[in-house]
Amino acid sequence: MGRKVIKRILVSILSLFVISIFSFALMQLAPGGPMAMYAENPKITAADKERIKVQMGLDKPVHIRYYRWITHMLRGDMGKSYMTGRPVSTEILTRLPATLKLMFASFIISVGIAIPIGIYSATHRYSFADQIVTFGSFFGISIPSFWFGLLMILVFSLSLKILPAGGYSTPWFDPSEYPLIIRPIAVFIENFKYLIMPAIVLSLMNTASWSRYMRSSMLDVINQDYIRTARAKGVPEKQVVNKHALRNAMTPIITIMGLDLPSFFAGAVITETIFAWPGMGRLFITAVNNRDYQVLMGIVMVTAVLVLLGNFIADLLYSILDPRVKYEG
Amino acid sequence: MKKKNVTLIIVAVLVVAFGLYYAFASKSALGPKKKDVLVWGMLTDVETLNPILSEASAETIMMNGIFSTLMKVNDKLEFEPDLLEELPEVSEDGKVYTFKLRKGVKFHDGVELTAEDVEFLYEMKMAPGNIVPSRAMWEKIDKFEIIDDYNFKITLKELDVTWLEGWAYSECMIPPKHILEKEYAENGNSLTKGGEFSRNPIGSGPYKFIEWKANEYVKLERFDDYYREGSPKIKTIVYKVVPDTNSLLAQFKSGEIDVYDGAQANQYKELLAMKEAGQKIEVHKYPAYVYMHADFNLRNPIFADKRVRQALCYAFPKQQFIDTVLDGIGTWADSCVAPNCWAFKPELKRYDYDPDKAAQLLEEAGWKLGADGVRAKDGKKLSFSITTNSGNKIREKFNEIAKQEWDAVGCDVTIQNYEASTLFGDILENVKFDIAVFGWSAGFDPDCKTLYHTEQIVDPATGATGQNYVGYSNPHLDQLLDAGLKEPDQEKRKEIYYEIQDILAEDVPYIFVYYYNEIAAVPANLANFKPNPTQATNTWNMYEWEWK
Repeated sequence: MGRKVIKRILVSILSLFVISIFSFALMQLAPGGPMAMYAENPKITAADKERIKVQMGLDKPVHIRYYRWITHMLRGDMGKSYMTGRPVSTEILTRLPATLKLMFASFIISVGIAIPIGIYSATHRYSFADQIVTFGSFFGISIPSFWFGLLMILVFSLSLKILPAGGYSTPWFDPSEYPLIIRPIAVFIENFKYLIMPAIVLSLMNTASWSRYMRSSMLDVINQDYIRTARAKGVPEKQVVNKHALRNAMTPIITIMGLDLPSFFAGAVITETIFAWPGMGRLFITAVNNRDYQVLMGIVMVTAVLVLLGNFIADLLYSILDPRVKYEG
Repeated sequence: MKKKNVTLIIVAVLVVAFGLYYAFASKSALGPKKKDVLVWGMLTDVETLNPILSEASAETIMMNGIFSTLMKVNDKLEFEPDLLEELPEVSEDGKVYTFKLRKGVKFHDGVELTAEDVEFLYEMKMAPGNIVPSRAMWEKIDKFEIIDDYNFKITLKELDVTWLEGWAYSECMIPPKHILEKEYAENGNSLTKGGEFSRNPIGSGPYKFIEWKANEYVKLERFDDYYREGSPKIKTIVYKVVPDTNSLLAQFKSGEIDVYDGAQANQYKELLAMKEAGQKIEVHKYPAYVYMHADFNLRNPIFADKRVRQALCYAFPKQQFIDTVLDGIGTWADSCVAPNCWAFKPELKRYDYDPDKAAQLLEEAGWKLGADGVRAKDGKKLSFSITTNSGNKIREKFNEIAKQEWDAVGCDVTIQNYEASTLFGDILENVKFDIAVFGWSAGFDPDCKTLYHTEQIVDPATGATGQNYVGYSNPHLDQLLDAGLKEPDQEKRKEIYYEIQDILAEDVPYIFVYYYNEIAAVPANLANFKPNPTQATNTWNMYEWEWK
């Protein structure tokens, strides 16, 4: 297996290289450029624009810019943002805590709800509760997250006034204002109250779709011979479902989660925008709008690494959950 | 049974925790806010807080707290001295300006601000290693002479009566030489947006910089040694970034932000309704210096004929557009000079909606109606496209109405909208449009040379760049534009700009559509909030703000 892993890693590196060439080329092909930020300001003269172009190195041909980018990249330098002038790695790292927090919270919510619901509706197929769950799932998949997010704000912030409408932290929050005993609680809730709504909105889509996958995967397994055998042996129903069936039904779900995981990384644009969450999605969309090539390349490469890693981990887990599956590089 | 217990315990703990938290949370984001904090909602984050490199108005909004300028443009659109004792003295020939600085103005680190800091700003603007957005006003300087610590003299290469205005805006905020010169030298003779000072600025303004959390907020705190005695009054200013206008409104309603500056036209009614419902807020609406315009590409033979351009002006229902699409939140425009500018000419040629006149003008120009309802001339159809940046709902709406109305008078219009960076980076720069719809920010000064002068015509073939995208050339107008910059007497200047406006209204290289109206919503108990439509932005006088 060790050799297979090494082979897989080498193939991944090659893929990353190809991805980098393609994405760099595609970005250059898209019309417009970083200079567009100066377009609607009549004070910036033509001479100013020419000078800035040269200063930013945008006057050089594409292949030279790519060569410059890749040689720096190999040394671990992702370049600097055209917009903020800060290293791309800094831009990404400062967004990372907020992104991870949101990813983690919404992942937990999705898994925590989708799996029990999926199991329940599979074991109670066509019951009233199953119909409700099915309806709920399609509802969850179909409603746009910006609408759901604004609805949450309307209910919990404007009507009930129990949660903030958006943000990440309170600039004037001072734990020392709280009595010592409840200080840790205050700090926890200070963080939690901003997180709760965006995490729910972000998890909605995955909760809904994963519960559908869980249901169908469970149904497949439940009709297998070995389940019938277990039941015939007189194993209690609870044990049949939780031990014999669940483990087998989980394998395809794990793959789907592994594949979905990278989309959390920069894919939460709408949720982050509505709730003013300072995460990676907003960094990405600002970079796209401003044609900040350096930042875009940075995020694309990190996401590419995550996709490859997600697949790799899903494959590994697969072979652990199901010993019949041999890991083939 | 056990599982149920666990769930119950978790729920109980959460309820108790939240209960305790809110019991003590009088100062939290949701409780009644401390009187000494003001939260200002921002739609975008900033890129730098270094005035040498800054370009965006969001940055000005924040830097007005941190830095001072030599003079200000107040809400009545007059100059007033800020760091200066009095407005600068101008020589007979209008080329030499003598400045006299206030004594005892301190930077936030306690060092005194002197004429050397001002000279350093000039050097930094011209330093080849710095990516300065605009050097236009600095390149006009011939000599900068320091007389003593508080007095200095600037000589211009040639007379330019608009030159002084720049000193009131963020590009002329004075940074401390003793701090910035180190960074400049250590960084290989250049300053960048990624540099230390960009993210940790020190100025002489009413507020000290405390922290900047990317995409989250920027926090400032009162500077006790500010040169205006007794101010500022409010202790902490927080600029909170909320990247969506719906969310901004929601946060304004919930009280998480105090000031919602730049509210959308379609939110105006809702804000007024809030006020009528008894919420203690004030809603300001005032004309801005930004106008929307539709540009004709005059290189296209169809639009080379003035009658066609005038016909399209007559065929567009401008007033109806302002009343319905903009909900009345806009001011009719006939030229590029703003209605609140001293050089604005009130009685200009007006293009009130008149489709019959439009048809008549098109007939005169030789465009005859064909069997298919489309006009043609010499076998060529009157067909063209209209473009704007997609996502801008108002501009998209303009295009839809224009198509409908112009098709009705015999044109064949195609709508072709592009994403903003494509439109501005490619379609305009490479002149690939027939009619392009976008906005310009006009100055507080009526000068508009960069838009209409022959020197500024864009030509991708020769590589000539500028902002005359339409390709308008009129030797008489060129003369007037040049003369306008050289005439020190305001009354005489007014005459020049009156003539310029007449020419533009007659020639219509653009359809001037409307002047934007700005909307700002603030708490009723915030005193001295005075909206300012110039580039100085609404935080221009934040040292005066006070909670009543």
